[in-house]
Amino acid sequence: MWLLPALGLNACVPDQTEPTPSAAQLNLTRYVAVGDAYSAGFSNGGLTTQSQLYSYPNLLAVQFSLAQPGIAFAQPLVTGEAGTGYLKLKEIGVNGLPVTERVPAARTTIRAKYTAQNSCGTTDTTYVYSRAAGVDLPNNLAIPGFRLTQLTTPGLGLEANAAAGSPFNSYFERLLPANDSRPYIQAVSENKATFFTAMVGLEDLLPYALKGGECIQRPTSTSNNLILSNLTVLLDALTANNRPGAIATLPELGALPYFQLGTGQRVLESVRASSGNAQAVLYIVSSLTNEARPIDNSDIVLPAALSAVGKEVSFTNADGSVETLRYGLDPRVPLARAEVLDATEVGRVTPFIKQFNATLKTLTDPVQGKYKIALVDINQLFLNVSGTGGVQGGVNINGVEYSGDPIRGNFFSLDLYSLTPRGNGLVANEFLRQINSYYRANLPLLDVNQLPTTSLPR
Amino acid sequence: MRLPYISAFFCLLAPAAVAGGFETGPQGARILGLGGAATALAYHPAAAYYNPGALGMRDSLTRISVGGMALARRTSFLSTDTQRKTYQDLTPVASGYLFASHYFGKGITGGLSVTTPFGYTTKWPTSWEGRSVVQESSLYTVQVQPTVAVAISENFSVGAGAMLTHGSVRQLRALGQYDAFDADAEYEGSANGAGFNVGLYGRSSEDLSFGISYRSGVRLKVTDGTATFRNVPAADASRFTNSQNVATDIYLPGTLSVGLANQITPKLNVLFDFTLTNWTKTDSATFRFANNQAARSSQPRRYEDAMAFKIGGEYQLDAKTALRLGVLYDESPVRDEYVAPDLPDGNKLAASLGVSFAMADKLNLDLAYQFGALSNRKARANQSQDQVSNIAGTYRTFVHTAAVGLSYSF
Repeated sequence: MWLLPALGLNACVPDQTEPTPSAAQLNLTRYVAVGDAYSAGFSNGGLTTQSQLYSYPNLLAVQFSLAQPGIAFAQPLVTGEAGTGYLKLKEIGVNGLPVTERVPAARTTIRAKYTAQNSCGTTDTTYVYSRAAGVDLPNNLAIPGFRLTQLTTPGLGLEANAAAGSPFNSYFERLLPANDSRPYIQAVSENKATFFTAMVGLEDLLPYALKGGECIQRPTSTSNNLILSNLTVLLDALTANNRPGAIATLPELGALPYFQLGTGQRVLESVRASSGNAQAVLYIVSSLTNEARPIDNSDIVLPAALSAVGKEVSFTNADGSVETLRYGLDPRVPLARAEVLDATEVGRVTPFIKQFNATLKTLTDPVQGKYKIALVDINQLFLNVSGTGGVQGGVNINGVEYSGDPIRGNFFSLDLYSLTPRGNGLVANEFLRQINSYYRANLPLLDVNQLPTTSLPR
Repeated sequence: MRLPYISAFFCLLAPAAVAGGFETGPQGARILGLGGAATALAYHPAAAYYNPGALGMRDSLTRISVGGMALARRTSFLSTDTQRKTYQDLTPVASGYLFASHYFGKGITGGLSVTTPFGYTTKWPTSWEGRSVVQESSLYTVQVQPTVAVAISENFSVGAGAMLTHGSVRQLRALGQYDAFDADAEYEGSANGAGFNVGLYGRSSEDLSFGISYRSGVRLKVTDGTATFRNVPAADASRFTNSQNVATDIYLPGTLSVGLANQITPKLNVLFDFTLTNWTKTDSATFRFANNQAARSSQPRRYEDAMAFKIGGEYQLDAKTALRLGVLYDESPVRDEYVAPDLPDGNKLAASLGVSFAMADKLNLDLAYQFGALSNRKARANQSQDQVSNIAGTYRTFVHTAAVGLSYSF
């Protein structure tokens, strides 16, 4: 071995030249992100400084600065270690689902709280958070709960509206100075962006689905049409002066673990196996007739109810006698309406998401589309990772498997629909791929396996 | 010429480079100097390994040749995704060789060869992008081969040997989970196997000789390999239980070689070898568990048969000094679709220099150095095949081999 150094081993190292990152003709000096919870860095059921730092727009800005050093990307970081509060893993449940506990927001983070009656007669609480420090209108304009239907609504960020029960978004409120009634679209236009990314529309539909279609305004053809027309209003504003950018398709419900773990057939099979009764029938309350009916594979049992299915409950008959029944396995104790997103309710969401994605494809068609911007198929990424409709999902990124598994899948956070830092990394990489190919740029991708698997504060 | 310039000179000679699978290359300092062209080389105890037939030329001398070798593969990787460059850690593999031959009379010659014909060590830095594909990978083999050769006539001999092989294999990968940078899986195993080699050697004239040699493949069946998982969080420990029953197969391929030697002048001998290596039986590197574990490990390889051409020349400068020069082209058995970081192989072009000095009456010192450059290989990764791990990028590899040995004949 003494011979090797003598021969000048380092005289010929197998060198390779790293390509120079390039943004081609793009000017990335003021990159603005428009979107909802997915773009704001919402993770584990809340917003924390940590989760915001791992939002995909922030990850994108880091990669952009490799090509154009010195790019600043301001985010409306929440205050307090716990941010707006978040979910923490307590243990892994018997059914393989995460058992979580909520870490509450610090008192100093919450500025005010308003309650309002919802359509079920229960109360919804709206919290108003401490204002984002620093500049007027940050680069990351994404606000959890953003609805395209509220794009042009004046006063969306006016605290008085929260008290009055009018359309209000507390995450938008905290971006604006007090008593500012600018609509969201104005905040977008006034932001002087040189480049934008957008992922919008999902939170017009997601809250309805997350709540099992109860106690919340249902999507109608009117609201759907408004979503589509406001999409063009937003894109008109974003692409003004031929501003370049990229827009993402929306993930279908079936690609989110929240709606994937409790598909009718899957729950029925597991309850038949655990109860030892191969003929067991699972009953839900139909949202159409409000009567018990056997579950169908198009119905989705929500995660919170999964552990209750088949548990013993006592039931009092009309004659006063008390019986012990298994929850959901008898028409007298069907799963409650809020515990199930039934086929009718799924039908109000899923077809429209497909329609929305198809519309986006048409609008951004490279040849005939109205908007000459990159289209990022985030829906396909989600489908590849988590699979859907009986198709096994999973992608292998440099030896690490990413899947829809709620604990070990690396992609979805503990709330079962928002993303982990690694999930955000994969979304950012998808954006980078499309930006590279559409604008002939050469922006390096992220090594997502370097990112944390969860965004808990540390 | 100052020594540092010699390797730089070789770098210029070999702008594109490669070497064959997990073969270590020529065995022995003299053979290394000849670029590995030794199938038609007689009157050297390495014939036991290269062609037992050539051992049978009634050689009045008893010969012993012993030495040490060092092999260093150096690879750089340029990631397609992050566009970052990573150098493999420099891990020289030390090995050695022993050859001996003795003529017992009545046309019978006995020989012994101890070699390390297959092996590699790959070690990537711990922060490397592909650490969950492979962090470290190594194979080491030792082959002991008693050999007998018989001279059938003055100009024709045959020989055969039994190859007793011990091999050990090791693979380390990061789990890439749990935010634990040091959570990893290590698989190790070793096994013994046996094979044979046969060869024939003939001379058609005073200065032209030929040899044909066949070495069988050897299958090493590991049944008691170990799997060790480190730093897995307690909640998931049951998914990764250490095991003492890991099974894997290592197939060391068989080779068929044809060689020619031409004594052009009394001082200059030129040798030519053509070798076909039966790599197709190397299908994958898979570590199997008795019970199906979350962290089973499988790297598909699907090697294809590969050819190698070797030319070597030996020039007797004076009574005490012999110079050698060799060139080798070795086709890689690794298909484009299966280029992987555990052994990023490519077609190899190598050049070697060797020299022998007579130190004493019967004692020679042999020195040799070979520089090989592998052709750049581009690896692709199919993310949708979630059971198959790979990382996309370009590999560039240089291989340095050095040998120093003593030959004694009496």
